[in-house]
Amino acid sequence: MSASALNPYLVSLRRRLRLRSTWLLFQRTLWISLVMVIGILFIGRFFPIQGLRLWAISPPIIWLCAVLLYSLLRPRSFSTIAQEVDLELGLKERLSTALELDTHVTQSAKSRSSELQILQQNDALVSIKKINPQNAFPLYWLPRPLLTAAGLFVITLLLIYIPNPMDALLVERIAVEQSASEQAQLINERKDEIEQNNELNPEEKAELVRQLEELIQQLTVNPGDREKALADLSKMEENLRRQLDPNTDLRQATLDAVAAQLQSFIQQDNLNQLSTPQLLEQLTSELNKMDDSEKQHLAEKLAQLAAQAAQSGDLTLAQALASLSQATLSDNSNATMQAASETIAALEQSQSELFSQSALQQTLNQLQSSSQAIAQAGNPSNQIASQESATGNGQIQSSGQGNQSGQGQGGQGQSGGGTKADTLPPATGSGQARNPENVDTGFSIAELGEQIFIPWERRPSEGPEVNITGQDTGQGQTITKETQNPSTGMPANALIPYQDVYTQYLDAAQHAIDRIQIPSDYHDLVRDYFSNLEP
Amino acid sequence: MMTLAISPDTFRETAAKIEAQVGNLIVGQKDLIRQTLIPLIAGGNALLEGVPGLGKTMLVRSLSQAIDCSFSRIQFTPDLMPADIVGTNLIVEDEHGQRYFQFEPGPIFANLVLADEINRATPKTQSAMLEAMQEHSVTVAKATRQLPAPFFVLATQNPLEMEGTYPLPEAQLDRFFFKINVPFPSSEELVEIAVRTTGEEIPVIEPVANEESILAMQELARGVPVATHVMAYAARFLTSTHPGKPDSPDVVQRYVRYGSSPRGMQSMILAGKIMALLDGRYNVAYEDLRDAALPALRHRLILNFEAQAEGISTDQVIDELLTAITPQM
Repeated sequence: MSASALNPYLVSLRRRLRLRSTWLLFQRTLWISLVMVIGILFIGRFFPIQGLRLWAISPPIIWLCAVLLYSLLRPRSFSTIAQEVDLELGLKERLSTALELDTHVTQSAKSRSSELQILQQNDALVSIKKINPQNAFPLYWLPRPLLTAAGLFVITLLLIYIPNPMDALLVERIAVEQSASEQAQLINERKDEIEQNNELNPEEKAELVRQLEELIQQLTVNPGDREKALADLSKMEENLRRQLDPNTDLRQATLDAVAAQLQSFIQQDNLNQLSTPQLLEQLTSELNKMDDSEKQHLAEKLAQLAAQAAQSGDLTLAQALASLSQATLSDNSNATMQAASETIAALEQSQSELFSQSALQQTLNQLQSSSQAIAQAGNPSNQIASQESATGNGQIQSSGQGNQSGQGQGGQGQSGGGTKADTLPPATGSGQARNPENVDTGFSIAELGEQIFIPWERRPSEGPEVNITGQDTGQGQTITKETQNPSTGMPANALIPYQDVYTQYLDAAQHAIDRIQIPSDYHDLVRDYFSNLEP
Repeated sequence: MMTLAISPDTFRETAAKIEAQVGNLIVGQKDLIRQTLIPLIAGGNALLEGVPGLGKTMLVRSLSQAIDCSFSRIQFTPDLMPADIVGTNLIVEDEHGQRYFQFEPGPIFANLVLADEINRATPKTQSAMLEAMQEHSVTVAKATRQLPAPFFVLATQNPLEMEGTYPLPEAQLDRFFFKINVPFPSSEELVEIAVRTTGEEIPVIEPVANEESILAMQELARGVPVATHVMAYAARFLTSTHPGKPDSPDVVQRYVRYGSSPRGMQSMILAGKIMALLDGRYNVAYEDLRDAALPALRHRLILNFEAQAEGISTDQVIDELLTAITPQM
């Protein structure tokens, strides 16, 4: 007998043993994969895990692959198979000895024992022929591991079908991520607008674009972290606010006043189409036609405008206007022209700066809008409030200047002022509607018919004040300011019932207390405050 | 290919006949008879240990009768001298009146030697058996003389009457292929013993084998193949009898002072070969080695004081080893 006599039988036995060992390994290790699934599902109940079910499915897949690969790739020589069969079927090492003898038979062929070896191998062949692999090695069940696996499977099903509190959080994250992406796109559009605006200072524009690109990048890669997105936006808002000139409105009002005064001295139609420097050029050309009284009057007005410019912080323009005022009274036409050209340059410089401020303001408005959208993303109750507060923004924009820039006023924090500005009576004398918040003190809830304005949730901690500048024209005129291009928001009714506002703020305060955003020492103070406001 | 001196079937039949003949006189005790026959076929020696009256001497005597070979019995006593065993040179005078030394063989010169109560002789006399048992030869007056083949020493000792005895040293114990414990017969066997030995009919043992057949059986048994992994198991088992080895179970670490010598492994494997042939197989199985472990190793393990104090026997240690050391793939 040679090895080839045993090998065919060993091949079929090996196949059967491999199948059986795979089956047994499958049953014995099934619980491991289920424990891992339960572990993942359990962790998913305490920490938000995106694609939790996919993660939970992965251990069984990996386990199954591992079991199959191990069973298929595990080396099982004929010798190993023969020994295993010998042991399991009680063949008393017949097969393994015969297999080994076959490899060494030549060495001992001449010995007397070779006859014994032949007898042994024949005995092994007879034994192996009697073996039916299917009957000898049945695929049996292992009750204990399978029962354990069944129990674990039930737990797995329970964990899958019992609602997971983290699901809502995940939905919110996705909404925040989506919202951040959308806002990044909007900010990107805003950035493109700034890049295409040639009236801006190149250095300031480049810096602003760089900051916006950085913000866009942060928002694009944001994984749904609302706090981080809001923090990124807030940081950018703070940067922009630092660059904003608090006297922008005064300077704009000064320019408007200059334009108005210049128009009053020029006897020509269609002056609205001319810019302020062009008006001054026009006036300069008409100076020779003026008599002394008119020049005197013009000089006085220019002096007043110079004072106003100085008050608004635009010292260059103030100086230029003062020089022009003095030059107007003198008969030196060269000096007058020189002063006029300096004033024109100062006006252009001032206008350029106002353009930059306007761009900053519009960007800031966009960021605030983005902040609001992200803050409300994934929260239906907040979205309703958002729509309501958006109507308030419409009022904000109504306080804008009607001049070229058409800019809005401040942020949400100034919305109250804007609203009140529209309700102010026409200014007389040198009236200025400053600090409209102060006006609120005399404005009772009852007067609003139990309705008050609801600002945005995220009020900036600081920002430029809203100053509604009135101007005494000396002729009893009232300057009415209204916006032509509100940058954000829609004009709509911003009044909602006090009860709703109170409830919303009370909830927000309670939420802040719960999240320990308010120091514990102030908890009672906050609660008392809202108790006093309770309708 | 050389032809076998005896076929495995003949081997098995001869062994069965010997066992049957001995069984005519020895009631029951089939394992005892089998364990006594194995050293004989292996060419080794056996030490029978049992209380008096269990038929140890009867067993050996009946075995010699069944084999039909020369038999000697030496009753060991404290005054027994080595020369009484191996023989001595005597001065003899021929017909011409010349004197010369002539070697007078002792009782050791027999195929089957019964060393009865071997532990009663002095160590000096006991050691006279060493060369005979290991080398199958004796040296007297610088002349070495070969003992007849087959040569088989069956020694007996009484474990109870230890007073005035000289326990066999480890080196001599190691020469015994098997140490066989003679168990006390069961009630049924005792009845049968009474029937057979107190009646009128005395069993007669007929010879069923001779020297040549025994030698042929010895030759055949050594030719039985052993797989490498079976051999490795024997080696692993033997190694595990030594304390301090990584494979040694706790019982060995705790109770064994010295483990078995390599002769223990040789005895296990050789006995395994004979068991395989007696079982109708042509290869040694793990089971054969495990069956041979107790008689082959029980006299080769030296227990420490703790084991003696706790009444632990070598049989218990080997049983634990059999449980702990299992075949591996």
